[in-house]
Amino acid sequence: MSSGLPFAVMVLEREPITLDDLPSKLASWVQDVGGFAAIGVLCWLIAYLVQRPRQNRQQAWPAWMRIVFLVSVIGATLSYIAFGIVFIPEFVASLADDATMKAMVANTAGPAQSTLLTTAGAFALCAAGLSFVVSMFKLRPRRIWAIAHLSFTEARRRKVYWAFAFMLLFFLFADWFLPHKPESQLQVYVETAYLSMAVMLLVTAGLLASFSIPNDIRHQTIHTIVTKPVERFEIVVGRFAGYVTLMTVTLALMAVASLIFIQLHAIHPDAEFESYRARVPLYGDLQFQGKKEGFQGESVGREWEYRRYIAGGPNTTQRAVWIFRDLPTRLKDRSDVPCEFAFDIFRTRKADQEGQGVFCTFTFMTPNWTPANLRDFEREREEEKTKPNPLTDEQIADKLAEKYGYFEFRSKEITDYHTLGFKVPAGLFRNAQKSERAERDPSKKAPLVVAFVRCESASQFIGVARHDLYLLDAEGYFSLNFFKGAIGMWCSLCLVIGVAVACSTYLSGVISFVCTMFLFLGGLVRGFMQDLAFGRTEGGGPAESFLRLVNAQNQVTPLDPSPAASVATVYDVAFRWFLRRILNIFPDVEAFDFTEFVAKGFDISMGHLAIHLLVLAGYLLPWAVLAYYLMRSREVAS
Amino acid sequence: MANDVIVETRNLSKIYRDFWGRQKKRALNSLNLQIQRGEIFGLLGPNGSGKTTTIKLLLGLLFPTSGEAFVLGETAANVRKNERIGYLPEESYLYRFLNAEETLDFYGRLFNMTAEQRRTRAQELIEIVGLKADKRRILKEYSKGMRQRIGLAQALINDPELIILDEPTSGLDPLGTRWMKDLILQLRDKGKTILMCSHRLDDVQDVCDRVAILYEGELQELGKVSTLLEDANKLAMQASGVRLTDELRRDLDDVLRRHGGKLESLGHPTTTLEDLFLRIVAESKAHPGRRYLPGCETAKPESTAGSTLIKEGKSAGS
Repeated sequence: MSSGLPFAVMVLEREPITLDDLPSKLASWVQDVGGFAAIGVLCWLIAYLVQRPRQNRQQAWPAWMRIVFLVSVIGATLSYIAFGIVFIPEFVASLADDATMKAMVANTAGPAQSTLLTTAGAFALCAAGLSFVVSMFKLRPRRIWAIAHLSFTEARRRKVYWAFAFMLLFFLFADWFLPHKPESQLQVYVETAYLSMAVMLLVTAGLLASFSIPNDIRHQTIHTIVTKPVERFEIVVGRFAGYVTLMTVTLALMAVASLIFIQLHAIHPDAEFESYRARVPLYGDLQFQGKKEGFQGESVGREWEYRRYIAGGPNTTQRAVWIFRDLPTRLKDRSDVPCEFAFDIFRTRKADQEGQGVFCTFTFMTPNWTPANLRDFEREREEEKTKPNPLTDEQIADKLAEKYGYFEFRSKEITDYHTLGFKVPAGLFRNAQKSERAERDPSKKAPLVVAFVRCESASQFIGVARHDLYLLDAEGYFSLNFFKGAIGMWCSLCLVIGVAVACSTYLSGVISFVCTMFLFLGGLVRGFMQDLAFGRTEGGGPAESFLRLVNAQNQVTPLDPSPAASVATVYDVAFRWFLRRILNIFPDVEAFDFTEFVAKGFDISMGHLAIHLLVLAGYLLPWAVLAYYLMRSREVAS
Repeated sequence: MANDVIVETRNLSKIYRDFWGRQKKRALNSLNLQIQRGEIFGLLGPNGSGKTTTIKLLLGLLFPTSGEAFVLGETAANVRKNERIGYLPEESYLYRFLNAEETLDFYGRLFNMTAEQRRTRAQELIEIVGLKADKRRILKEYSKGMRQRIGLAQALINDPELIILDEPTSGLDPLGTRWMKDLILQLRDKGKTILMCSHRLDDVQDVCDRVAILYEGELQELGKVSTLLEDANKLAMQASGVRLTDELRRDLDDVLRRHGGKLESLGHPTTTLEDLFLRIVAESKAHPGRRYLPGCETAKPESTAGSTLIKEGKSAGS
């Protein structure tokens, strides 16, 4: 993804999850997990009615639990029925193939559907999770720790750590096998170190966790545990905790060793500027400005449409505009604030000289600036320069920026694959803080600073994305950031161990491992699956694609009407519906990969880490409930 | 359930089924039994008769197909009952990468015992099962008998009220077998209730107060060992201070015929092979260098010398 891209710029095709996204994510989680919970409860009810309970097998629930369960089941049922009723108009509208009607129905029924689905999911979760929650109070840390310690000791006595000795290959031969441009030396080291650690740890963790409980059952060692006063779920939690502890220790040791290796390695002089950095960037929102209304940047025909382009030239009206809304007040106390950027250049003619870049002008303004001030601004600048004891250019820029809320950096040469930058005077931010609009209603997030980028070189385009330009708030510690990156890997490890242990409560070791790896690898291509589920792939779904392949038809032209095409379309609709339902079973593995942050020298914020820990917990919780029921209902002897 | 009933099953049945729910085997059929506090109860039967299935149902390792099982006043599925139970499986299914101390420490933790309690109890049990010299060796290096001993130690870690032993003498040599049987009797004397299953009839006969005999999942017989073994149609007598002669045989036959009986066999009693073995081992310990010499018969124990065993019964067919 990062090859051939400008150096030291984050490529984030999906915006990272922020605190603002949490309510909607939580509602979506309740809907999805609640759906699975409802299916589970339905299966249980059918089994209950068909089989009748075996009195001796389970202890009877107390009255309050029975009432809560009943209320939850009734609540979920009614909510799903209501959802079905609300869904009927949308279904009818979809059959009518009338866009206006569809839009009208979607606007009216959409919010009601979402609310009902969330309510139903919450009730279903309550019904399915009731027993689980109550049993949590029976868990005892000492017993869990005993089993965790056992897992740890087992791995140690069986010399599992020898598997990690392969990491030495990285330390010994990294330079032999890692071709790199001198500039990206550290980036390659970091990426390879993380990759080596990830492969070894994830595979080992998956194997250990998949085989632990099945081996206990096969060797019957579990008999001496479940005949003690041990809740069965304590075995699951203990195994999980044990392997997580083992992998945490190993990951920490490997991270320290890798960091020492990276720190001690001589860095090429060309890479020094970009090495060992942990920038804390401040991003703005990207918009485009042009003659056309609603201009969203040009497409230059590149297959990867991450960036949009603005045309260059002396009279061009196209601008890339970054709007900074949430700038911290501390910026005004500094002498200047670095602005860094790296744009992609698309040339429609060759440069006059080899390696020559294109030229851009950067203009920053605050809400206090009005174009009518431009003449005064220019005049005052000239006056400052002709004074008997003139200030330096930086001082003049700072003074005028504070007075007018305007700063311009002209004719900056842009070259491909390089991080470039200049300093924005802090006076601009002092002016921005004085902005009436900012003071009047800060909750409306009025723009504090707006940055305009104009390409001056005729017949050349520059490609920009939101994260291509940022203000540098601070510089963090690379070593600390390296460990924060390892926390992302730790999340992946927890994910693999959690899924493997949950699967192993019912499946054999081999099947558990295969299932875990299937889900994990599926998680790696989740983006593609998401596109497929929501019909964003070119060429349609699997049936349509197959038909196009057989008919040697390209991906863009509409399918010729035929019975086969109709069947393929209907099949794809059903397939997409099914895929949307099961999509969230696959973990968002890439979200936990912080390698790019560390390799490209961007700080991983604590908030970012905390949100991903929440996401991890949200993913593992349903697996824990599943493991609880599977383990409880399983006969461990035969 | 009365307070002195420790284990009770009511129509307890177990059917093993395959993945599709089809019946594979009926392992236990409507078992009804009660085990009283302080007794040693034996489950007897050939392989596949349902002994181990019964034990696993009582421990909650298996779920009953129908019927109920109560242990220490709780249902078999209730985990709380396990606080007062000790279980020794047929094979000593322990973690072989742990040593004896670590094993007992691990199981002690499962009972939520404090570190001090675990340490004290572990040392005490290691002493009892005679593994003091080997307590730091991992279980992988243990013989089968040693593993059975540490298995018993883990079963006793919580000083249980009810001890369930599945084939406790399996894999033990005669010395170990005797030690195990003695220990079981000692535990009974301390007020523990013991449920054991075995297909070694001599073990069961030696230690059990009551037995249940199972065959193909059905309870065939239940009662006190002494009552079950008693044959009211036969009479046995042991005498000392007299030699077995033809005259004595005739006299005894006359007496028995006068009372309507018949002399079936008469001879000197033999000891059991176990007793013989234990005596030889004890003598070898007492007299190092003792060895078997061809032609020299081993001296018989004084207690049986000169004694005569008479078996008498009524006329054949009576």
